[in-house]
Amino acid sequence: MNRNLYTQRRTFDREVINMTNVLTNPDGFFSELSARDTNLKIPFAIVLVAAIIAAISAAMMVSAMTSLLPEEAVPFAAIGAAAGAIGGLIMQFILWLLYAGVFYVISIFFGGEGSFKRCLEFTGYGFIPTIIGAVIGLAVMMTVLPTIEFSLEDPQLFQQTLMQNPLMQASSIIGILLTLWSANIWIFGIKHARNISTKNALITVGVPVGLYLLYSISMMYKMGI
Amino acid sequence: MKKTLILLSIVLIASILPIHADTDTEIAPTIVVDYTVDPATLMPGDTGTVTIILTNGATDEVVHVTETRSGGNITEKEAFDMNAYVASASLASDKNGEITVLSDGYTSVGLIGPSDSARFVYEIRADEDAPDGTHFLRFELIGGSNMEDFRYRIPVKIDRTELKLVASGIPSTVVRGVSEIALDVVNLRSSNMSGVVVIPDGSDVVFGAAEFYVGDVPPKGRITLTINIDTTGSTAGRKDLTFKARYMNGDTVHESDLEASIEVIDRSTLILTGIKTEHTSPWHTITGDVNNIGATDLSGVVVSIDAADGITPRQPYPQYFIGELEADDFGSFELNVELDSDIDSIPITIEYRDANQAYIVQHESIDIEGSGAVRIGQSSKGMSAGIIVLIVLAGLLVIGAIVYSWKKRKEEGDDMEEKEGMV
Repeated sequence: MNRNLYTQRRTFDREVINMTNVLTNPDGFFSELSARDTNLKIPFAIVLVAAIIAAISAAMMVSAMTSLLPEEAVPFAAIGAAAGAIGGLIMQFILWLLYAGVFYVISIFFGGEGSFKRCLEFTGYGFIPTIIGAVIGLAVMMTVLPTIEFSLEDPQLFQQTLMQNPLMQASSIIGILLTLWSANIWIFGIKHARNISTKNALITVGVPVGLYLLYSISMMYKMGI
Repeated sequence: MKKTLILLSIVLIASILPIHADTDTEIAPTIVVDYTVDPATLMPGDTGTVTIILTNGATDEVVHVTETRSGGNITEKEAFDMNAYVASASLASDKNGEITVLSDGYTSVGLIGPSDSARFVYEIRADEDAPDGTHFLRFELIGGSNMEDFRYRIPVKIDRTELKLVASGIPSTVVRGVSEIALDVVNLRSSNMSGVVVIPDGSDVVFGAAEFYVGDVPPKGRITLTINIDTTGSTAGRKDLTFKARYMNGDTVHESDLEASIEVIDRSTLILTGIKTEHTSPWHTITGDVNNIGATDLSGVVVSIDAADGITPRQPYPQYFIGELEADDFGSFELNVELDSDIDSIPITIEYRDANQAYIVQHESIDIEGSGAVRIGQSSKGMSAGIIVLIVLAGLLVIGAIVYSWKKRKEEGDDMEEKEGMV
């Protein structure tokens, strides 16, 4: 009885340590995880948490935009908020699949051997920094949205207003930094998921993420940040 | 003034020719006297003219008087010459000498044939001290041949009443800008006043024109004159105004004066009210009303934001066109501006054309504090130090995590190599 309890605690402690390693030592984390069977539960939970927080942010944004609608349109505003939440929720899972798919396809050119499921599992762990970014984004949104007045006639103007807020700008910059952190996790995840060299994994992850970051920075510049 | 007198200098009017005369008959020409006085009413010191026209009323040169004798024979008894012979025609001053006839009399005028006229013009002058009333000049005609002498009195009126200027619409106080004032030009005389010109004058004020032509003012009549007075550049305080009316009675020029004053208040014609500044877009939106508290209508009113450091006018309304703004009316405006965080007032320019069509620029300032402005944010230039520190910390955390992970990977790689070497 006591021996079983000790064994269970050791296993739990090891998994906790491993979860910490995904942020600080992803190479070791994925190396250890490669020895185990593919398990999508934890990556799914990670993406789900990020998705829920993103959904709340999206719902808040839509709710703020529809707050100026006339009284008769209130039901539509609720529908809009719900649609925003669902969109935010789904978007994270789409991104998960998209990243994993892109990494899987690119790694084929470097002789990648692992399954897509494994690739999907390891890519999911890379969404942990996204959770941090989503929490920061939600806090900023809760702070900034009540202070902004905008007109429904010009949603682009609203977006500009939002992005000119220093808190929103800081949130965007931190988001880029966290994406770099995610990319670092994905490099080692893809390395072990697809059994390719660190250099090839760097290219596999670096090219699409680099393009995405360039696009994000150009959009921020366009918004006048 | 024109009068006609039918002077019967005939004992018997021979209207049907020939005339059958049973008794002694004497026939002379009929003279019609007509006269005009210009101007109809003189003022003391005025010169004028008296024109006397004599017309011979006869239709034929000779009138035959016949006589019917027994047996029905008609024989001419006498023939009368109907030409009027005028030896002299003169006009004399009135008995007190208050109206002087300046012209000499006419002598050796000659014959005035049937239906012909003779005109005699005399220049007269009223004495400076001549009293008001009707004065009679004496016209004397010396005839010849069968023409009888006669005298006639020509009445000439003297009235010293001057043209009157009445301040019918001069406000006691005006705000800076163009105001409208009204003067009544009143003619209390019984004769027409011609060529009336009003000349305004005043220090530290500008009138719409140097002179205003009124023209003729009929007897007992009134003409209202509207004058624009511009106090845009005036200092506050009392301004004395004088108005001089120059007019003519006949050929003599006269003047009447009017003195008035206005108080210029130290306030602009246009004032801003209901100012509201909101942060409704990336920029601030300023809304409010421009009120015309002046006395005249304004046109081409444009409200705009002056660009300055930290103040950038933005679309869609860097300036707002209001157009016409009637007196005691207002126009709403909306402006868009980008403001830096340290800006607490916005310079506003109001341009318009006043009632004289003069282009006026008025500068105002809108205080951001207390205007209802919702100032959330600052531009990227105004990112606070706290936020910058937060970004730097986040960057260091991420870079640290990445560097640490790569360092860890190298150490584990070395350990693996050592283990593989031992094996």
